[in-house]
Amino acid sequence: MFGYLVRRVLSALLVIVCVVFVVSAISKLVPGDIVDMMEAGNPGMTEQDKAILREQLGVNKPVFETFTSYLGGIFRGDLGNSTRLRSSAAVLIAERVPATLELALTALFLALIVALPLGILCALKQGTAIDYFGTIVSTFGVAVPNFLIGIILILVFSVELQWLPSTGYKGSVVVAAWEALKAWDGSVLWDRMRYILMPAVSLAFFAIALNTRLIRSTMLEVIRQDYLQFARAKGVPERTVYLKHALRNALIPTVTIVGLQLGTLLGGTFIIENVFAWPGIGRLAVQSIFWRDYPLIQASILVAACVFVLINLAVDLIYRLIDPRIRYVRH
Amino acid sequence: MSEPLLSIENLITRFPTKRGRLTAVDGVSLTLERRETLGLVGESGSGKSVLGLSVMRLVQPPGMIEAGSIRFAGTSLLDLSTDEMRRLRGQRLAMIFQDPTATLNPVLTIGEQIGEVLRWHLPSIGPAELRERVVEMLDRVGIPNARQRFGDYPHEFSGGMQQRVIIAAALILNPALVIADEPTTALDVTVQAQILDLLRRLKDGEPETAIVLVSHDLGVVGEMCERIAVMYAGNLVEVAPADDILDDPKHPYTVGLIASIPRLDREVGALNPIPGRLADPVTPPPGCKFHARCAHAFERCRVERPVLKTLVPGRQVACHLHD
Ligand SMILES: Nc1ncnc2c1ncn2[C@@H]1O[C@H](COP(=O)(O)OP(=O)(O)O)[C@@H](O)[C@H]1O
Ligand SMILES: [Mg+2]
Repeated sequence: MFGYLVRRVLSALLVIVCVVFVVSAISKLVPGDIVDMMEAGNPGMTEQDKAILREQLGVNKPVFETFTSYLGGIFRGDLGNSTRLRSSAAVLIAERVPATLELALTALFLALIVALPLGILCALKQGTAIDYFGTIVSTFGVAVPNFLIGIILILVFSVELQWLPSTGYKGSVVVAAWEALKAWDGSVLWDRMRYILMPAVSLAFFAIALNTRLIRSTMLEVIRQDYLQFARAKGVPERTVYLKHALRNALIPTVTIVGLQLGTLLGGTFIIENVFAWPGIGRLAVQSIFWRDYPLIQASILVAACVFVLINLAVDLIYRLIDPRIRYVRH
Repeated sequence: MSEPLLSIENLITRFPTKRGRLTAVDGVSLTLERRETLGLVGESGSGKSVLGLSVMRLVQPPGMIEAGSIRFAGTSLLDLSTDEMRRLRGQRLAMIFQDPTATLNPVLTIGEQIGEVLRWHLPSIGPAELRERVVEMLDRVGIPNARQRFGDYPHEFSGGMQQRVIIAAALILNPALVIADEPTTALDVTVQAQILDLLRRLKDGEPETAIVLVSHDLGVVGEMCERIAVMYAGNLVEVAPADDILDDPKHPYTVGLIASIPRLDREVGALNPIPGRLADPVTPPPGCKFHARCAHAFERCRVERPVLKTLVPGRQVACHLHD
């Protein structure tokens, strides 16, 4: 396990180094003069500003030097400065990470909490109307893009029913939940939840649909296994046969997929945050592209890629912890 | 004479399938005395496993027991509630399955999987005592270093050792009846002998346990059992003491099975003892289900299904040749 851990961490680091290289080389990859293009998105630049930028982005340096100086910046916590917002890209991103993570994690939570009972129900009621209904809904969910779901939700719940705000963010739901528990007052929590509900549901819809199908099929696979008959033959009641013996096995492939979905969900925030004006990295990244704010683009890509790699690493390690067959294979 | 431990009357178990209703057990009647070892033999697909599962009431829907009765130690199993039946399983009635690797849950430790029997049937047992009894049982079934292996997972054991773990779980509460469904079929030849030996030893040490040993191998069953029941396409075709069956088989199907007792140097399961294939359980042929494969079949065999008749006390056969 330890040797594996070391190998896995090293390979993650290697991927991150490659990402840094590509990100640092963006200034070379853009056709034409990158600083002139940035000027188009940032009116009011002086010649002096442009010279400083050329130096910062390493426009005139060889690729490798650009890479080492960018890498050096990373170690100093310096990801460059946003040309548009005129402040540190690292700080701008750090401010927005919590909102994005909260949105993605809420979506992930929904993707599990909704899909798990639904998938199990469909498997246990295989071939009945419930199962067919579940299949239709999940096929629909896999096929429809998340921004469309978001727009439909806005039309229904904000425009028509006027139950939920269409855009905005009032602060962390997790923090509010903690305070609500302490003060035994849920009003702030509810106010914040009203904002996250629609973005999280539209972001999670695809994952809910996919997981329902995945859990249904793994559960169907597990239900036929001999070890369930053995458990019954020992006098284990049916409920325990399903919730202990079957579910534990069905959860293994599910956890893997769900963990990897966090990466996909983070990617989805790039679109959903823009639909709902959610102040996270996704929205910042898309804005920085419109602003042609290259330092900010670089920093957003770098942070998003690193988060993705780290999540994959964590999922892989967790998977090994919950599946004893893998846990002991590599000593 | 007192009541037999198990008596099955006219049991019919069917599965609805796309092609129609599949009759896996077709009117089986059988009795088993206390402490007896009965062998149940027949080709693969003849309904042995379904018969065993029917006695455990573990036939999975949509399959169901459609008719007949099963009396076990004075109670009618088919009249028990789900929970009453559950309490018998593992405690008074146990079952061992064919493929040990598939039978053990891969994500639970073996200590957990054996201990579960105690936990459900002796709710007041504490964790220390549970562990103690499981270790003791692991020791009895011949797992070396039993105490250290309590927390190990199934994949850390060989197939033979896994089957020992399963036997430990099945026998830990001294059940009155153990149905061993081909307990050695999935194992290597040398390991097979060890497992059969273990079963025999455990049974001898346990004054109350009867065993139904299911096998498609008459050779295995002949060595272990006092009595043998031969099953063909859902019917019992011959039931007799082991020696009588081996020395003087009455049913042509039994004759064919004996002619093909596998030797140690031949691959298990690779034999097709009798020419032809098992009768289709969805649309069985009229008359005797075996007639198409029987060298002695005559007109009556094609129209009238023979019933199990007593030839001499203790010997039963279902064949028109022996009317
Ligand atoms: N769950 C099931 N669904 C449908 N048919 C089944 C099922 N289990 C067993 N059968 C059928 O019942 C018949 C008897 O099977 P089985 O008892 O497993 O045979 P054996 O154990 O003697 O090899 C076979 O035709 C088999 O296909
Ligand atoms: Mg079988």
